[in-house]
Amino acid sequence: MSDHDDLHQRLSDAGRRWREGLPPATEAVRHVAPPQRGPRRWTVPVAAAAAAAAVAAIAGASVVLRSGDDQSPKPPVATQPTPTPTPTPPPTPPTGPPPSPTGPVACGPDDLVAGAPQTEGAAGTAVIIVPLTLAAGAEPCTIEGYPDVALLQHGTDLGLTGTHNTAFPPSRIRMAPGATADVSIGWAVSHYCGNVDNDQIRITLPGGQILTVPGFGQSSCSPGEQGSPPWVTSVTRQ
Amino acid sequence: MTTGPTPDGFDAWVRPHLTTLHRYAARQVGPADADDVVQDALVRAWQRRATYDAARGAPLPWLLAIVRDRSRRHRTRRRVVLDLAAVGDPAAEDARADLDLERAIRRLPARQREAVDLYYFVGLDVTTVAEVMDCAPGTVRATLHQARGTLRTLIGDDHV
Repeated sequence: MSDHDDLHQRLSDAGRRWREGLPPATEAVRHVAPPQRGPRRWTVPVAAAAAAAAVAAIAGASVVLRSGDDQSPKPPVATQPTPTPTPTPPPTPPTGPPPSPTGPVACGPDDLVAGAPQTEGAAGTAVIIVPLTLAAGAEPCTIEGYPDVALLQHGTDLGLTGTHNTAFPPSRIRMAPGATADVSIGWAVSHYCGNVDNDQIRITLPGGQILTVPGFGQSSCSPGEQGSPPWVTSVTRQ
Repeated sequence: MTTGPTPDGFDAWVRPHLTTLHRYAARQVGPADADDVVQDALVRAWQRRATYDAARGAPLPWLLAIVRDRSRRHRTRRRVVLDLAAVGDPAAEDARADLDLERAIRRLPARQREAVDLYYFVGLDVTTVAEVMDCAPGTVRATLHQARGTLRTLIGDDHV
């Protein structure tokens, strides 16, 4: 088959030459260290690898990220070599003494509002991320735990009970004006064989508040696939 | 549920895939901006690590999908210029042929180009390409076949 013999070979050779012309990726991002509890630096060295084609080898320019005690990285703030994490005293453990009578209490049914959901996806799994903020006029409060989710079709519960994504255990999130937390709901919608039209998702937050957001849409699957239930993360700070 | 990386294991989780992620970013936005996109993607992957579902596939397709998303955002912010200098050795005859091929690849329909980039240039196998493109392996093979047909036409057109 000439298609396979000539152009396939030409593409393979071009791809190989192109890969050989690229700087090694290990020079592009040498170290990715997640943040720990307490303020700490995140170091992501960047070699500006592609620029090496035009400029002499650039090795180890670093991008320093900072993170707070919510275990979330912040955008890069510097591009200098900074390989050493800065040790800082850990913050007070969130599981310490119970809040004082004047401290934040658990968020109630009217304390939070949902922002516009974001939808992301890969490999047939869609993820709907619902941002939560403190409602106008509400007092600061805390939220902790997994929401319950129900997938609805024209108002009817499809009976697909969401499983908990246990990779990251729930932590107490303090909601104050300007603070944001997320609920992430994933579903292999394009692999679900129930042939349903999930037009709404009902989310019941740990404090009892009920939110409704647009659903995943029409499901479909390939022959031989089986459906799997959606999953939901604990409320997390992003 | 077996899921994504633990906070302490994120580095080890992504490290085996850095070469592939960098190649894909370079195909998407050009070598000069690939580092920025990979870094952006890794930050995003860290933020979204709880959304990774191991039951639905390996980490690589998930990470590549994030690179693709961040590349798109990158392209909307700045016009990506084909870095011709990065295509092979300019002194070699192969480089000129590769340039012709690169120009033709950039004129392919999006799905065909993605399949060509992932399979021939990033160096993924058909199964992984299928996971990234969210389709069956047979569809990838068919798309690659179509892409070669389109390229043959485009290269022929260039020579007219």
